[in-house]
Amino acid sequence: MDDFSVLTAGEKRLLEALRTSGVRFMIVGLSAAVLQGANAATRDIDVWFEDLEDPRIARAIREAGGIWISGFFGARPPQIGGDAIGDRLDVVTHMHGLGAFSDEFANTREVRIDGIPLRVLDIRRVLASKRATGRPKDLAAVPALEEAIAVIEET
Amino acid sequence: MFAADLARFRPKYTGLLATIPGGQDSALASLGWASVLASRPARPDRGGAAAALSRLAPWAQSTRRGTPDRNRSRRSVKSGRACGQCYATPEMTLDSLSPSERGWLVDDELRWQRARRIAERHGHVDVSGVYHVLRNLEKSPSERLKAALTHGRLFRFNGR
Repeated sequence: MDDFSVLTAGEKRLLEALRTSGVRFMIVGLSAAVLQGANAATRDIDVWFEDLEDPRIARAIREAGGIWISGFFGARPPQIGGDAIGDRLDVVTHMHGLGAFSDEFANTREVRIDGIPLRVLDIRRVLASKRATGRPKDLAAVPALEEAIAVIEET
Repeated sequence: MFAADLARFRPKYTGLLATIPGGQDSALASLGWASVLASRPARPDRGGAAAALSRLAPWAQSTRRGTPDRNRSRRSVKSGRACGQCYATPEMTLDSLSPSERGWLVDDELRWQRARRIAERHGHVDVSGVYHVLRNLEKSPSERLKAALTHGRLFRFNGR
């Protein structure tokens, strides 16, 4: 479908800008699992940046019309803000149970979302993270991830 | 082997399949459905369709008599599932399906078979879950993500 789109115009602009500016990031969490076939629901698209202090992140977000809150201050975590981008892109600062970003980057695969090639964390690593995090909502996702991995391993 | 498995896991199909003209649909026959029919123990004659109808729950009988009900087909299917059998109502027979619908049924049966094989090899995973993963993998990544976000939140709250 040519007119099919999952991303908003703002999200597209941002992801394109991040990619073309060379910022290293990956899609993680349940969104990453869903992109690889897991049958699950999620509220947001988790983005893991290699370096939150990379000035290119702020530039890309500004280019897309958003606001970048990079550090921890007040009550808020790092956040991509502003109405132009919306609130579906969540910034992840740490992945429980996983190695450093540079190590995990080797465990990503390229997936095109609305035609934009993005690095997506392998679903097996998403599962490892969910198990390590251990919150009820993370553990609830484990069966869906296991089912998807079973299929992936057979293909 | 397969016929026995299908009969064991899918008892609800046997009634449905009773309406397949033997050998007419080679695709279905190749799935082993014909052999399920052949191996199915013959039901004792309990007086024909009228008697069979009388054995259904009252609400199912009224559905069969043609009570205007837009959920008619769904109710009929559910009535079969509830008691572990499938009463082949007129709207459920394979004869009444179009070629494309039959094609879908064949493809879907293959999908279920594959899901079952995968689940058996992986022990702890749920067959239905695997089936839905197979369905998911027929969509593009963007379609999968859109469905997941739609269920996870309402798009309209995000300006959509």
